[in-house]
Amino acid sequence: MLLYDFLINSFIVGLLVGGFYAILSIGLSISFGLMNMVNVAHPTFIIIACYLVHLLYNFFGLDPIIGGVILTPLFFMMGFTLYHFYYRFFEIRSESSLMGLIFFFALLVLGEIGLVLSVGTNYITVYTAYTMEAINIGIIRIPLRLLYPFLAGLATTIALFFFFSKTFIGIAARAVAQDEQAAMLMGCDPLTVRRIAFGLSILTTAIAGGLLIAIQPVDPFLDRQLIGKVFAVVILGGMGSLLGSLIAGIILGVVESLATIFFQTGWSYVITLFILILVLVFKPSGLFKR
Amino acid sequence: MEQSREYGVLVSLDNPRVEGEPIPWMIPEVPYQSKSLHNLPLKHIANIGPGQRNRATVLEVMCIRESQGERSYYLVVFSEYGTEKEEVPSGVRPRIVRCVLKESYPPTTVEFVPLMSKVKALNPDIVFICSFPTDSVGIVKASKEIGLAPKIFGGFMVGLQLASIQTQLGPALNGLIVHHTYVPAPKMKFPGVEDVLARYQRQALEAGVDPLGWYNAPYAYAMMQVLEAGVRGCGCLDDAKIADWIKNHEIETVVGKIRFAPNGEWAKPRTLFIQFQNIRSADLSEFANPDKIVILWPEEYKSGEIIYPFPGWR
Repeated sequence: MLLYDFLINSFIVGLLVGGFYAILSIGLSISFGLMNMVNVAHPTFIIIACYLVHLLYNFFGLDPIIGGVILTPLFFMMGFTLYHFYYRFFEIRSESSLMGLIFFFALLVLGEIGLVLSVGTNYITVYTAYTMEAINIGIIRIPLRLLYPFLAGLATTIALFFFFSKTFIGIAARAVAQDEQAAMLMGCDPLTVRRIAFGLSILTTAIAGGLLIAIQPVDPFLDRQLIGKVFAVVILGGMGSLLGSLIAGIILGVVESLATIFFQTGWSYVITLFILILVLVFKPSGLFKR
Repeated sequence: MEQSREYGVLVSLDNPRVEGEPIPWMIPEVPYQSKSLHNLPLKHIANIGPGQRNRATVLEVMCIRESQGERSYYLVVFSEYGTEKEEVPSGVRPRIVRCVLKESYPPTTVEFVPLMSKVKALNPDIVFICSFPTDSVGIVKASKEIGLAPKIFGGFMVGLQLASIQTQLGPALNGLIVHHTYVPAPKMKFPGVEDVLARYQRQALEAGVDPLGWYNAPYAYAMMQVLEAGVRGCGCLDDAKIADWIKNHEIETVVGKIRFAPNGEWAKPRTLFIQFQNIRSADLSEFANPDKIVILWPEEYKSGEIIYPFPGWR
């Protein structure tokens, strides 16, 4: 394999993996970036979605990506309801920061244990028509298992971007994040807006779950491996910036891929964290604004 | 103690009670911990896993065809942890084995296409991998997608022995040579093992665990048989005496007769190295057929011949 073939293919794979990182993180960008909710259970919702997608796959033969999309109303309602609980017991008492973190950590543990008790510790995975298939475009070889999640992640990110920048509820959510009092004076109901925003945040985990299980096997504890990655993407991209999360995900994906080629694989994470530290030092708000 | 995800049984390696206390610890198979295990003064440990120190033997199985031809060839080695990097086994002469890449990867690696592309660029004859379940699947998928075609592919890839993963990878497993603990081949039908597996399989699906149970169930059962034998043998519940009895007697179990060496491992290692052959679909029945999980090593349990180079990979 020629060097430039090798580099181009590695870059493409990094790009595709980065798009996948973005969809894993985009919901956290909404909850953490726009609503100041440190939802450490975000990856746990993704894993729960994986198991539900797996159920749909087993019983109805549904493609995992379609399964994830089908689950979105359920996850939206889950987030909508959960926010109400969070608001009632934490936010309204001004205990949202530390107690909220503990609440979400408890959700993480409950989610893991709930999965273990209900479905066991077995690895689940899916086999689709595009698993282990690739398309060749000249010298470029693109694994479909990565391409489809990338496209789905891209579409979700763009849809959410337009939702938060063009619709009344979306703009209201950003307004509430900036200045709740002012937003109320403009006729916004912050509680409803936040409920919807958190519902959307959890909705994205349904799609991310479908994409995750299409890419790799899943067990109830996989969320712990994802926590660092999703927070890194959100912080690097800029708190609350959806396109920032997309670009940050792609940067991390490409850097990891190229670092794997030029150095030992373990160094890819060191380089990723080094970039994150540089950004925090020189641009603490992240690469992009809300 | 904590529950092991892979084995579903109790494991404790970092518990401070392990060191120095006279407890007859029964350790279920712990493939990646043996090094740290043996650095501890564990006088009373017994590892039910059938021999961890012969990990490199799979490499010898992989190399045997090439070494007969006395030609140079290339070897790629992976390990999940840098401290456990595999070495070229002493049984394979260094002049016929040249390692072209040793690489470790972090446990958080999500996607293996970049890594396997790096391997492909080196065009190795043999790819030897040590990996945990999710990584094993990712590595197989990535290798197929990029068209990696070594003559032999495999290693200590944990997870590929579990039916839940096998039935998702299906024919992609053809040709892979990996370690295993138990395959119900004719030479391995020890007294009682079929009954244990039949009872296990009746409950496995409902319990959401591996439906075949070849990898874990017989050894989990044997572990308790060893402990029972120890208690009965010394006629007391004194930990040190039980441990001592276990170490000094050959014990009849559903996985055959077990004798432990002073280091707590099996006196004669018996990790199997198998090759997936003629898998035609991802149906469970394919992986429930021992004719398709061919034992290559040890010789006394061999159930078929290695297919080399495997057409699917070359």
